[in-house]
Amino acid sequence: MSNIILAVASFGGHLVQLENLVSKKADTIFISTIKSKNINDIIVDCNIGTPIKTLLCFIQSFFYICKYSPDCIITTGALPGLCFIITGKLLGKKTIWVDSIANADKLSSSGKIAKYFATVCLTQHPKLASKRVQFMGGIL
Amino acid sequence: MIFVSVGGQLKFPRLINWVLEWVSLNHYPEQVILQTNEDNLFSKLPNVRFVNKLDSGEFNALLGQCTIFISHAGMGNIINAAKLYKRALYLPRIASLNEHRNDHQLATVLSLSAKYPKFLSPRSKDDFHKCIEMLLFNIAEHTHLEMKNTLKPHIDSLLYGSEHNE
Repeated sequence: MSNIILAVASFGGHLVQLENLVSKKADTIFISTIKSKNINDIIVDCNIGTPIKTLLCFIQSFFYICKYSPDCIITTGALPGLCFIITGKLLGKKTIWVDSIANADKLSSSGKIAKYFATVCLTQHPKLASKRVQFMGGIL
Repeated sequence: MIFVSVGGQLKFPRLINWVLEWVSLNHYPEQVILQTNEDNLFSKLPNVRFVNKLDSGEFNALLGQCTIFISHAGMGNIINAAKLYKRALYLPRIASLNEHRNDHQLATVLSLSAKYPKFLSPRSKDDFHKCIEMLLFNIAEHTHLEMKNTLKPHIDSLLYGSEHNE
């Protein structure tokens, strides 16, 4: 049975965490902000200070979700991942937000928004679990 | 060989300077390679080499070869070093010194130090230099972080259901 997964993360620590959480399988599409090994598609990098790029990233998220029609979207952040969570919600997809393990005393800014859109929102620190945010474990 | 990395995004001159000071004070003879996110850094010391950026292949090769790893407290570097069982020390970027947007790296090292008592993340320059010596000369039976990754099985079952096929 085919199980298409869109795995999205910004380059750097976010991507390292994603690659340690999501196995590389034939139907798993990895999307990041810089070309590197094992990355299938590139999206524009954006942050809170770059509204135009954020808009562009939303459009790209719409394009890639339509192109691949995934069964599930999973991301470890940051803002580009949030674009996929929100667009995925609008298109009725199952979405998983994993907040970076770097955020040990509060959820990331993107995570605080993602928890209202993601099907499952995870923190890697037990003390940050709340009504909408679950703790199941951590990468370290 | 000492390998130093400040991550892929921002400069971190405080870390670079602290390493260089230690190297020249102690006449450390072996090679020191520093990934800095900066151009135009040159060293008078023949054993010191700067690189602006590294791709993941080059990064992993240097990480694999180094005796000790010195890094900003970014999770990518911490996880990659943990996977290779590297002896490492981490300096968190501080927002009030304009080293990052916020103090999440401080939160990272505090939480990792609480979980792993031998996780090395000095704050002062003196402690930083002591940690380099501890790592190099084996004074601490220092230690890698053990990557248990207790989250991966849950992610697998979220993605593939309970009876996921490998």
